[in-house]
Amino acid sequence: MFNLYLPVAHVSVNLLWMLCFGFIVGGMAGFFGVGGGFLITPMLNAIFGVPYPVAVGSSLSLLVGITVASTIRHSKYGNIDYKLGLVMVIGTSIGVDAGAKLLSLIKGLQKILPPAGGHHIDVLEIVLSISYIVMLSLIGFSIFKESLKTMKMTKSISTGANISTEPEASESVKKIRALRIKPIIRFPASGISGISVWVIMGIAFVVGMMSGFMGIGGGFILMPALIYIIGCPTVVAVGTSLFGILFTAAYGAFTYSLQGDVDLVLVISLLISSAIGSVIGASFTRKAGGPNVRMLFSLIAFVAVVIVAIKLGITLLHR
Amino acid sequence: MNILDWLTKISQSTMPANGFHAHWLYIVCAVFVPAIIGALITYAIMFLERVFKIHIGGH
Repeated sequence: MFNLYLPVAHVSVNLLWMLCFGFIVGGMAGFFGVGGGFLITPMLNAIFGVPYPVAVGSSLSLLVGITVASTIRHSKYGNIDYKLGLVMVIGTSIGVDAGAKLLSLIKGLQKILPPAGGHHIDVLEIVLSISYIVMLSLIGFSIFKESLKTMKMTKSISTGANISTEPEASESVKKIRALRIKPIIRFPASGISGISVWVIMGIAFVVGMMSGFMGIGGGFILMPALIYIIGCPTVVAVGTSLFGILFTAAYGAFTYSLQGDVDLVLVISLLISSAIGSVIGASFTRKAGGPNVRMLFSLIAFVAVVIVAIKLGITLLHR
Repeated sequence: MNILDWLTKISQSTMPANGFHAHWLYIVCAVFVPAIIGALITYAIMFLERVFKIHIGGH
């Protein structure tokens, strides 16, 4: 009962399970400002038996719907800095392309090199997975430490005092922000009085390049970069990050659909519950407050680390 | 024909076994249909909030 046949993936899935899964993923995306591709793709593959390329293509198409839903909701609360989002999109797009080119270059080099020990070992996949684990662990740990400190500080200070719950920038970040290479641009929605466009573009380029190189959506790097390097308030970082992911996901869905790797039945059946979940998730971001959002985000980053580690372990065991 | 049958038909028309080529309608559906559905669901929730005078997440 409630079985649904997916015409591109060639598998039958339980619709009720799909609806539950979509709701959780959508809720998370709306609340944290991450796309959720890190969770959707492996889950579709491992639990529902969807082939990997179809899982990637369909999750990107699904992300378009989720990010539109949560972007509209965040926009209603004033959580999106559109100007900053658009500048970031230009930088990340160039970066994603550069990252993908670098990846194919290394893959090409790997093909030239003779296989180690008589059989081919995909060193690149292992290196990428380990880099992802290390990077995400570092991000997760730093955010966890900072948000815990802010939460403790907020509690210890007597009530009534108007204190900031946003993280304070380190000296090196302050120096980056202080660079005055023209044009200087203001972002009133984020409370940034003036920052060089090149600084924003440079950060966006690095974020995009890491996304393209590691094959990840970018929300996990973009959201912390907006808070800790550019100095966005957490709720604005969540909304702006989702706005940025919308473009990346749309481009990805377009690319994968050209290869026929998007299962429309899968996307639509997941989208109904995930869009509802994302609207609800987005509604709670401002209420939860900056430190709580950052603390929960760090925990989700650790979940992503565990998923990637398990996937790496399975890959190594099957060799 | 319901929407799922229609989507299945579009998807199958682009299958590699049928001499693969991505049908333009399939590409449009993959990019824009999720965006439209996402927007419609959000506006429907916001409309229901207004009608029933509730607010998800509180004020």
